[in-house]
Amino acid sequence: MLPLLLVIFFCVLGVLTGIATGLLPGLHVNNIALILLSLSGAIVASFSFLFEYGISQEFILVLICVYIISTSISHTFHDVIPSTFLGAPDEDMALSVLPAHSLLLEGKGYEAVALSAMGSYGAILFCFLLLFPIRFIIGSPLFFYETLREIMLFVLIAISILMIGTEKAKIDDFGKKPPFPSAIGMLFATFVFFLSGVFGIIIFEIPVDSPIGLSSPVLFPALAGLFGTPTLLTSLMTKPVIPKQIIKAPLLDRKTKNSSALSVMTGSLGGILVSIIPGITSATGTILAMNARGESSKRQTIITLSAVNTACAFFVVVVMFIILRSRSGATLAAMELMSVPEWTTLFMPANLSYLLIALLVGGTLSYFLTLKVGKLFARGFANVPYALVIKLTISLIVILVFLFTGIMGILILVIATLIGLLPVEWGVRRSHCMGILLIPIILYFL
Amino acid sequence: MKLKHFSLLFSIGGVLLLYFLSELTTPPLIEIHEMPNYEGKQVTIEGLVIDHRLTKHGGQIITVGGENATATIFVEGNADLEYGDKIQATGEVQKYKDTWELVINDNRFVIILEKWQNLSMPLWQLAENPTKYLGLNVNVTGFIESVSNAYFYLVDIEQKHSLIVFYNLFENLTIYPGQKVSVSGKFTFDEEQFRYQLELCEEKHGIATQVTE
Repeated sequence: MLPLLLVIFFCVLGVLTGIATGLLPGLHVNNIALILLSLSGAIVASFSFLFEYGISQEFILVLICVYIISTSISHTFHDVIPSTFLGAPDEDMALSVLPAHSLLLEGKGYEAVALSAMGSYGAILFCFLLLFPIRFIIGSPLFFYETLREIMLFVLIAISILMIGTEKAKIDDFGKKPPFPSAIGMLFATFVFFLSGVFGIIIFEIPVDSPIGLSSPVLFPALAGLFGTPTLLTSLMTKPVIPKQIIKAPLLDRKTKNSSALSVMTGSLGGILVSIIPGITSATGTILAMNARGESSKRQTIITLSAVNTACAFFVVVVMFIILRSRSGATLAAMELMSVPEWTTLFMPANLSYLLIALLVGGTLSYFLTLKVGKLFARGFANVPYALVIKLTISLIVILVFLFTGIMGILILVIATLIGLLPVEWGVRRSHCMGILLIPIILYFL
Repeated sequence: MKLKHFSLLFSIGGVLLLYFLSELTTPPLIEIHEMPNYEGKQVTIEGLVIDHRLTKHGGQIITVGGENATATIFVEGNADLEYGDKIQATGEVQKYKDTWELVINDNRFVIILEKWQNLSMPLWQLAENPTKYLGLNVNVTGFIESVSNAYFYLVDIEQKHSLIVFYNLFENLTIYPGQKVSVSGKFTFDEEQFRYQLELCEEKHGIATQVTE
């Protein structure tokens, strides 16, 4: 009974941490995983009193993993709140940003949050149903992953082409006559993709060192710069006029319910693909899912996007036990911390069942907490000193980058931020920055 | 200047800056005998694995040989190596008990450039510098001469050099004089007979036949 209670306790702690990482846009769950990995020895020591109750050191490490995984799942629920409320754009940019922002500008910020929570929770339930089918498809007897590995190069190239080819941004700086703006938009997307790729190739050659002797992952400043700081800086610079928010749960008629279920399913399948294929993120999964889905209404996009995110966070854990590979920072830390036996039979490994409890309990808790926090945000939106919060978040990222990767890491962060600002400023999708991983991986498979 | 133009210009400039920095910060590739000139600095060396063993604390000590010099490499962790592999190692040069060592804190900085099986060389090359390869796995090409049940001689095309090859573990081989072969085995010195020899004593050793030109 005690192990189960401890799993739930660490899960609740993780969910609460996930609220913090989710609400602070630049602070990613991978950073938390990284810090915990560095501190795992100290954490085990501080929980050594549990040894008297028959709890082993290995189980404490499993509890740290439960904490990390709960944080990651809670993060995917709560990150919609800052992207809706903090990343709110001014009118000029409204077309190029996420649909949640435009709902905020209509006074329906809470509805955006509620739809997102619904998409995420739907994905948890759908993924749970797919647990065994996916296990049999990816692992024995169908071994889909082995087949996929053989054609991985072509899959990655196809995904890259799809990402760039479906870019809809129009850039009219160099000519307004159609189809010039669309063509320039696509060319610019290609440019961002390749610039990120070259950046990725170079940074893997640069030695980074932590001034306090921590492990130094070069991707940390790079990803924080490409995807975290640009949003924060843009939020600082734009001063949107936000109307009074209406706090009302979304109304779902029969047709919308069916459509939402379809969005959850396609989004989840997109997320599952992301959890299997290396080098692509939820953003790519969303593009795949949206193309498969064929509908692009604001509300359905929010549901699909959230489903992709959460399904990916869910399935990276499961996939870790099937193909024995980590596809996220959280699972990378988990693989370092605990034993990950391959799931080959009908019965799942004990460690996976602990993490599944964390995913299910954490997901359910996160659903209700997201609605609660979303409501609080919508009500007290005007009273929060956002500029200060954002400045503090940027400072925190800079400090963490310095502590983990030193002065060279700061330089990488600055250059990554400049590259990350390109899609934000020119209106193309930010997922093209994933060239940072995709191009080096494609070169590896060549 | 608008932020969009600023970010375009400076992102390209930044990537170029990083490229030049990476060129500058990449440790220099030096000869093994130059190590004393680089005390406390990061360098890269290359050489053949002459010896490798694990320490009690989970580390690994590798000895590599280059042109007329050998170096000791201390690695935290375990690099999967075999005698005769050509490796590249990047780490800090340190002096330990009067010998120069390359200290590496991560086994990812030990890269196998070529497995010994792929490092094929003609017999004359081995004959010119036998001490360099002594005790290592080598892959030598030449022609077969004087076949017996347990050994044969490997000669070069001009019959200038000759090396005895013991192959007693490989009974099902069909070899005949004049055949061009590539033999992988351990290059040793027989003190009683006072001669160098090639021994096929492990499973990974073998004889591959080649088409005579």
